[in-house]
Amino acid sequence: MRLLIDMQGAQSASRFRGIGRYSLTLVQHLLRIAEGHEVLILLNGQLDAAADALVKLFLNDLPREHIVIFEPLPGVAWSKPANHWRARAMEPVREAFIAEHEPDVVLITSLFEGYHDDASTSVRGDLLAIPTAVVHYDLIPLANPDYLQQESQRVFYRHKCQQLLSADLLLTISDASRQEVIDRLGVPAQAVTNISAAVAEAFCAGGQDSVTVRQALLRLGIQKPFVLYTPGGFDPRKNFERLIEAVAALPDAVRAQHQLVIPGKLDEAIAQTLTKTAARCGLAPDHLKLVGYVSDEDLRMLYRSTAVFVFPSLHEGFGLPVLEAMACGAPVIASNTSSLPEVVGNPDALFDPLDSGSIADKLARALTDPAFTRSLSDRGLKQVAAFSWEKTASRALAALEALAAQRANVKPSQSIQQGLSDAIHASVGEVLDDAKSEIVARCLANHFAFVQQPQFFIDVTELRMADTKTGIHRVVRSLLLAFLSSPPAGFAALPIYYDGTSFRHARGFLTAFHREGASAKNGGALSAKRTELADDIVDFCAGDVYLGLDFNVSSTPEAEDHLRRLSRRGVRLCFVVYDMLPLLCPQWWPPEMEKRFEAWLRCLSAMADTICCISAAVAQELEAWLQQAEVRVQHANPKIRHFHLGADLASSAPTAGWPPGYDEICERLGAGTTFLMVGTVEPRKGHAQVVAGFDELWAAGADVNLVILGKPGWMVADVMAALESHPQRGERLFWFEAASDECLEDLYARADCLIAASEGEGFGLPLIEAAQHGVPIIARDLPVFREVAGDGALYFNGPESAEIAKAVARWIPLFEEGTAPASTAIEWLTWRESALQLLAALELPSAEAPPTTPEEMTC
Amino acid sequence: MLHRALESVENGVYIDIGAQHPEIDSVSRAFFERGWFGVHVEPVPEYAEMLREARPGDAVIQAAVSSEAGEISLAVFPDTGLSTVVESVVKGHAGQNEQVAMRREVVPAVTLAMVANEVGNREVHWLKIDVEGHEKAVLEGWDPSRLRPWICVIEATQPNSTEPNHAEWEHILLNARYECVYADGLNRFYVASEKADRLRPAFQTPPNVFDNCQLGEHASMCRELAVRHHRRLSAQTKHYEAALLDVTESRSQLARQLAATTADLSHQLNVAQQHQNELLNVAQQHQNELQMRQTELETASYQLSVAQQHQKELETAYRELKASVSWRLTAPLRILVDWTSALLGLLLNRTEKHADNPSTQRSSADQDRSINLPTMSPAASAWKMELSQTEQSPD
Repeated sequence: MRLLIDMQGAQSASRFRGIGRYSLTLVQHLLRIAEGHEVLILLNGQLDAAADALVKLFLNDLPREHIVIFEPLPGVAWSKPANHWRARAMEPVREAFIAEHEPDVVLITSLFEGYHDDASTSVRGDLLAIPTAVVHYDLIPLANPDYLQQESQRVFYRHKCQQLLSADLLLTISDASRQEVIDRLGVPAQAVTNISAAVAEAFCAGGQDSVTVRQALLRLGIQKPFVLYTPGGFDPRKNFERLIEAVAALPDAVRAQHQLVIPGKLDEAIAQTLTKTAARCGLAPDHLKLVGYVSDEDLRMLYRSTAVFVFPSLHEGFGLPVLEAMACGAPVIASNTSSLPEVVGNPDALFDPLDSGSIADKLARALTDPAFTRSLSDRGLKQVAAFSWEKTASRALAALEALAAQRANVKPSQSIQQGLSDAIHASVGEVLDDAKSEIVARCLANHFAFVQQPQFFIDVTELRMADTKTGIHRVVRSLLLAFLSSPPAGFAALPIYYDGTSFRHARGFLTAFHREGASAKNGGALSAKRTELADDIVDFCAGDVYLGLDFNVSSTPEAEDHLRRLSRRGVRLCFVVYDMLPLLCPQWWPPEMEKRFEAWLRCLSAMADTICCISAAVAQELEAWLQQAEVRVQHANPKIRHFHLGADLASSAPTAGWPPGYDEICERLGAGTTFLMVGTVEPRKGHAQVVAGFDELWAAGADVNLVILGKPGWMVADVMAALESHPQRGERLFWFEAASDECLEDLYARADCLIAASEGEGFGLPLIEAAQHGVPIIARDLPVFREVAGDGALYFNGPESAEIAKAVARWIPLFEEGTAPASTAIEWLTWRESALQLLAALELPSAEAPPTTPEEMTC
Repeated sequence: MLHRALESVENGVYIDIGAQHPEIDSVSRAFFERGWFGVHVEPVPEYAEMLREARPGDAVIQAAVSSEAGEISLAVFPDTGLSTVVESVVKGHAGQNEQVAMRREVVPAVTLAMVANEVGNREVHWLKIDVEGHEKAVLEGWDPSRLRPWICVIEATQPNSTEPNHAEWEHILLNARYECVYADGLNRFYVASEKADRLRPAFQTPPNVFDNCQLGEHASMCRELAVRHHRRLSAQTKHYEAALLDVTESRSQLARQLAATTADLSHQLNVAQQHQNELLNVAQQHQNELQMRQTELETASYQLSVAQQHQKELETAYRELKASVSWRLTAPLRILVDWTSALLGLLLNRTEKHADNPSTQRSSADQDRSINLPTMSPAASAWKMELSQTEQSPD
């Protein structure tokens, strides 16, 4: 059986009270016994805090795809008349959404939701005939017309009762409740099953030392032995007045020795009424103790230490406090009405709640007759054994299975979507004007995709704004090209960007991107004829994958709310982290970078499903940071993976062009051994140390050239000044501030050795680029360089320029002999292979079909 | 001494012959201030006038006293007590000091008896005679039976010397039954015998500390003290005057400075206001320019949307064209043309320097950000079409 459980009852304001707790515990126990069945739970995405908490909780028991999120329009609470049309519009949308998931049975844990908060429940049955079961608690408002004070509440209640009648199965929490719904609503008896209720395991008769108890009681202001009443609410049916009268009617000695304790959050007005009643009945002021809200632990302590627990409520669906008290070993006396007799299970313990004399008699006996008291608590503990969550859950499951078997699911004649707009109009009851249609349409677009394929979205916000020609953007370009030509199997790969308000398809960017790539190869004429298409807003659906490929340090935090909503909806959020250097070595960056980076990292760690780092070294650093960072995750801790980058420049949408005077420079490079440094001139790249080292070599007369390729970065004014005014500049020292990829390829070909002197890297692209050209490497001994280059490089240590000079001096004879460590041994990937590694890290299937070239792709 | 002797007398009477200055070295002043009545006889007109002013209620006789009434020649030494009628004394003064100023006046002369008429029947307590050598003549005109002052005080030395001269006239007093009870180096004091027992004890000791006498500021004995005091006073005054001058000067300096500063500030204020006006003008100009640019922008946007609309129409036409039969039929022909032109291209341009041109990519990105990007995804657009095409069914 495929069972879908609507758990909005555990999300709304009632989630801390009986109904919310009951819903949650019932579902948890159902999941434990529901092997062989597929269970999905439906949550309300609009109630986002509760939704996130529940997703987090259930991710332990269910696969993510089985937690479906329904996002009704904001503003459907019935209490405001302006919300009515939206509330009515959402009912068929929810049903259609449920129907999309093709369950065999739908279980609604609480139907009477959506008055005060933005929940939306319904049982209509006219859209699709999916058998629906509803957990039913009580009909108290129906039995007591004054219970609901406002007319709109009463209208809402009647509407919901109507929907209740459309349900195929009602699961009630007590026999009394079952009988009530049969008698009052005329529901056929075979459609109602009593699944009863139970209390949490923590409620038990426990040992607690008297000292702690005494202190706790004093803290609450209880100095004497006390009579306890936990009403669970403060409305007239809880029968406070008669209880107080009964306490006042106790024999003087007994009354003087006891206090009446009533815990529970209540407002000033009610508190005053109760105190006045107590005064009127002649009780001393501290005889009645209204202790306000108490924690669960304190509640248990009260249950365990009370002299007598009294429950004079006139009408209950079940009466959970009674069971809780009995479970803790308290002697319990209760009303003989509604569900209480079946819960208490002991006729001696019952009284007539309408007669305060009856209450007083029972109370007096319980307080003065120790044998009676003991028998109450003994029988109570025995009675508790009859209630358990296992029993409740299995009764519920049995009923649901029976329902599923009875009613075969009738396949609809029309598609869901065709009938939906009709149903919406019918439900709202009026023509939707343009504005309203637009609002509803947006909501529908979030739930029902027109696109059949799941989508693989690649966020290129930063790259789209400006290609900074850094290593990171080389990676982004290369991987983007690779994914476009071979997306994950079964997915469509689409670049998107965040424009400040919403995510959009980066179609304009894509066209330009292709045009560039094409023109680099053959003069640009061919693809000049593409039309620019509009950048539509993106429709995200559960099952789509979002890849934050770029280092979107500003746009990711900006889009955080959006992304969290997407994550809630079921979109997998994945991010690539290039390095942790701004956090670990902030001195290499401008001052505000560390804070921004940390903010960015925290933001994405909280909501990411998977984070891929570009080397195992970075992955380790990230894991270490996560362990001490105390990030509040939205659903679950992110999975940390790593992959390696590609080396073939040709597949990275390379740029072309030659710097001025390049040919003459190449002639000079012909003489002497040429060493190459590739990378932006930044503090950590070690340019200063290398130049100083080469100064020593030149002073010693070594015949060496140093070629530096890298645009000026930040915080390196002194290095740049040194380079610009260097005596050997133009002779043996050459610095290219901006060189195209084409030029870079050429330099690799001419270089005799690559020097990688960076003090911190995420990967070290130049290493594998050099390996691809067979250029030997001298590298600093960093874990990440060891990871990438392995034995294929000569390593050096230390910040002194002498180290560089020594390393070079050591290397040159080896090179001349031909025994220098060869980089050809280094395993390097192509960008295509790198993309496949990334997909594997993301646990996405890779395409088997042969890749197509970019020109043949249509957007 | 007189005061000691006559302490117990209230509202007594005195006669002062040769009274001279009413304040300086005046024997009668203390008594007048205690309410006594007196007769002053003083020939020098200046002193007589002073006496009249200073002693209201007293009688002032501007005359000399002699043994006979009439007129007498008086040598006046101004501002001194040396004026006298006795020629030998005049000569004596002139001989001592030739520069001494002197004038002669003829003044009336009266006798003591006539002076006594002014007193009437009242008891005279003391009579002083200070006439610069004319004492005998004065006493010769006295009738002791009619006038018997309790005490007579007579200057008894040669004028301006210590040499006594009382031998010439003392017998008159002794015969009148007066006894000399005291002499202070200048004057001799005689008391009437009938009062002698009462008055004599008062003359037993010279003036001493128990008399509690105070010297007036004009007393000759205080002269040095007064000079010193005066000197000190004038020094202080000079000092304060100098200080006052300083203060006045600095005050006027400050006033000048204040005026200068005020003028400066008001000038600066003017400059600033001018500046502000200029800036306002510039701002206004900018405002106008901005409006102009905005208008231009709106026009351009409109034109752009028109162009894009046109482009859409062209695209549709193009698609239709490509889909048309005639197009597909002529496909082979077009491929041939492409190949030929590509070949020509290769022959004509050896290598195409493909410059890195991020600007082209960026401009296409910018264009994409224009207003005309599709706002609904394909699925949403399709659903919207579905919803609009559905026939409305009654509720």
